[in-house]
Amino acid sequence: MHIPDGFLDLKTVSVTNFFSFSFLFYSIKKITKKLNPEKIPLLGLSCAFVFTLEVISFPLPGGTSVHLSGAFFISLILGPFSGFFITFISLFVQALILGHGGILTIGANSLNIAFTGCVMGYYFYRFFEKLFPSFKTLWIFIMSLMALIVGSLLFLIELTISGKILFSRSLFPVLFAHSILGIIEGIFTVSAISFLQKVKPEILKTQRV
Amino acid sequence: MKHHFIDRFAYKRGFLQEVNTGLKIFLLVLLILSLLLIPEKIIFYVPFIILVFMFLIFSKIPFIYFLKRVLIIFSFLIVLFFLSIFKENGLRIFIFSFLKSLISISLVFLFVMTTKMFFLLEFIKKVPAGFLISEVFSFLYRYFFLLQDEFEKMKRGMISKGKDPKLKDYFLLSGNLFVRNYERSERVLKAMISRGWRIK
Repeated sequence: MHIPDGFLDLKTVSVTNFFSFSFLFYSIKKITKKLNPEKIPLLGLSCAFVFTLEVISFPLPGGTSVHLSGAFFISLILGPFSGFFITFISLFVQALILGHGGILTIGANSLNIAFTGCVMGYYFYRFFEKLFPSFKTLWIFIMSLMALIVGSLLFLIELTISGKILFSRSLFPVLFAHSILGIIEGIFTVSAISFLQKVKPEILKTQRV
Repeated sequence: MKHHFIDRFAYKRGFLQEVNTGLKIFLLVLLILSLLLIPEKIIFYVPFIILVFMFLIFSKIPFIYFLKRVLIIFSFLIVLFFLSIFKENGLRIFIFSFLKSLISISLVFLFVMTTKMFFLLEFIKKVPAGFLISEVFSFLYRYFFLLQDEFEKMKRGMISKGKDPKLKDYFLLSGNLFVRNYERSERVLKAMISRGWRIK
């Protein structure tokens, strides 16, 4: 859920932007230091891919549709810092071109979507994957779902701190909606990763930063 | 597919089109920030609304086209409306937040519609760590429309073969799109190097 400008107060905007921009610059530092520069076109095209995923509507039974985030998926391929960087840029361009989200709320939106999906999801996945390596697919699914749920909790906290909603009243509907989205995102990530494993496994061996 | 490039009005002659990109970005952030700080009284919003209309008129942007783009915000605000109304004074809080949102998105669109993408990328290059951001941004802008078309083509291909795509098929199409994208990135790199692109 993208938060538009005008729904967060100054302190929430300042804190979330400070955190997200600090992490963005840290990610850029990591990428320029570690990533093979020949991978810049891949980084750019992956950003276009994430953007496309967020724009295309996937039809659901009953006439509704959803769009995917792709943040966790891209971090599984390119790594958490590249994933965060790509998703941040994608969110920024969405706010500029499509009006999804806002300019001052870019910090909050990237914290809710990019940080939870790419960084938190990725490191938790790696931790559990090492602990129980035979359940890789299950961890991919769970972390996709968890990233969305944690993101939705952050979304609620930010709006509550800004005085726009009541946390207790909004918790259930928001968590319910995001759980369904999380399940769909989880199925997407699992199907897409298994597809890549079958069709072009070398993609999954790409340098991760 | 027919795409509407958002910067197409940047090539017209108008007030905002003549303003320097850096100054425009500074003004945009300043205006959105001041919107955050103004008290919740309708009188304080009037100057912003007048400003939006003045920019629209003097920058020669068709009103209907602009309205169509701005109205997209309603799809996001419906959810926020239902979450806000549970709070005491929720409707009032929502209305003022909605106004702030509407004015902000109008300003953002006015800015983007009147700025050539090339100038925006040039400006981004100048900010700290801007090289990587502008490179990735330009790839996104260059290939996003292409990827959308490619996805549509794959979908049509599936339908023409007699398969009605379900959600799972869409996921596989997305996986396929990523594979094509990956292969394209290798070709793009070779093309860039052959045209003199050097790694910095």
